[in-house]
Amino acid sequence: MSIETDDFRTLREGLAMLAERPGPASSLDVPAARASGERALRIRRATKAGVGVAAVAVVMAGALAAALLPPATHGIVTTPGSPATSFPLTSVPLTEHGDPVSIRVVLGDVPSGYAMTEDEGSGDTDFVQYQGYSAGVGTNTISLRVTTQGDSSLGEGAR
Amino acid sequence: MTDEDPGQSVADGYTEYVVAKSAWLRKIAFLLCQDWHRADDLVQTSITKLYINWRRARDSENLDGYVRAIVVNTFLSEQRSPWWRRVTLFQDRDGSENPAGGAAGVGAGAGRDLDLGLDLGDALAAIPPRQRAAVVLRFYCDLSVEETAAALHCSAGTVKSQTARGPAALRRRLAPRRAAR
Repeated sequence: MSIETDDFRTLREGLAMLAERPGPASSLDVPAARASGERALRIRRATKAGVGVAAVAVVMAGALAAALLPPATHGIVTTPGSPATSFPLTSVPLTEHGDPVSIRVVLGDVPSGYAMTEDEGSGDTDFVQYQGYSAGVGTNTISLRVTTQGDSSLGEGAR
Repeated sequence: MTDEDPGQSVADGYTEYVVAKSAWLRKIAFLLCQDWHRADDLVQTSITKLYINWRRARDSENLDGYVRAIVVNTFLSEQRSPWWRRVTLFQDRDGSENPAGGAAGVGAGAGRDLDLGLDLGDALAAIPPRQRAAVVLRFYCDLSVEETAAALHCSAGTVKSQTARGPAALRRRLAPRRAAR
């Protein structure tokens, strides 16, 4: 036999001869292969089930965490005659305070007998103005203007 | 196997198939690794993988090709992790165990080889594993270039080059031995 040339037929014969050589008795164990395979299948099934449960748990934990987060506030607190103070911004639902770029004023000190209402007639976007009215006709008014920069000014006049 | 066997539905026909094909699988494994004991380990691992994927294999168009691909790929993946070189005792041609092991031990018995069949085995052991697998699939299993490429997960061009270089390498390794006789 020779494979000195490109004789693929000879190579085929050589390989067949090599494969047919008697070897030791086979030590293959089919039941052991089945048992190992069955064990691997069980592990695979358990892993798949575990991944599914873990995914559901992660989603539920995320939803629970979002629901339990404390509602945060944002905006500007201004009292008459004092500069604006900003709150630290945290996660606040927009629905609670409306547009986040709008001016929001919390009035802390209103003189006794005055009621403050937002003046909606200005139409400007860089400040908001409040009017304070005392009870009764012909009495004084107080106006409070707060700009987007946080400046505020008080005005007084007759009604 | 009994009716109460929980693996019955999974393993339907598995045992019969493996028993019928084990000799054929051993021969392929032996040509790949030139060691009967390692060939048995290779086939044992392969039939375990076959059991895990038995449904898919049974439904495939070419069950024999599917199993042959498992054997070849198991062999090639073992080449990438040389653990077997450390734990497997290599048996020489005369039956004695040589702890040097694996492919390195194949060449040690060359002086005792008296026929070209054994020389071919040693020459096969000396060529790279993927080239060896391509040669075995093309020239022992009689697969086409495309079928070999599918089994080895490579292109037809790669198979062509491997099956051109493989026989050339075998010729180079066999020539000095023949000249020495």
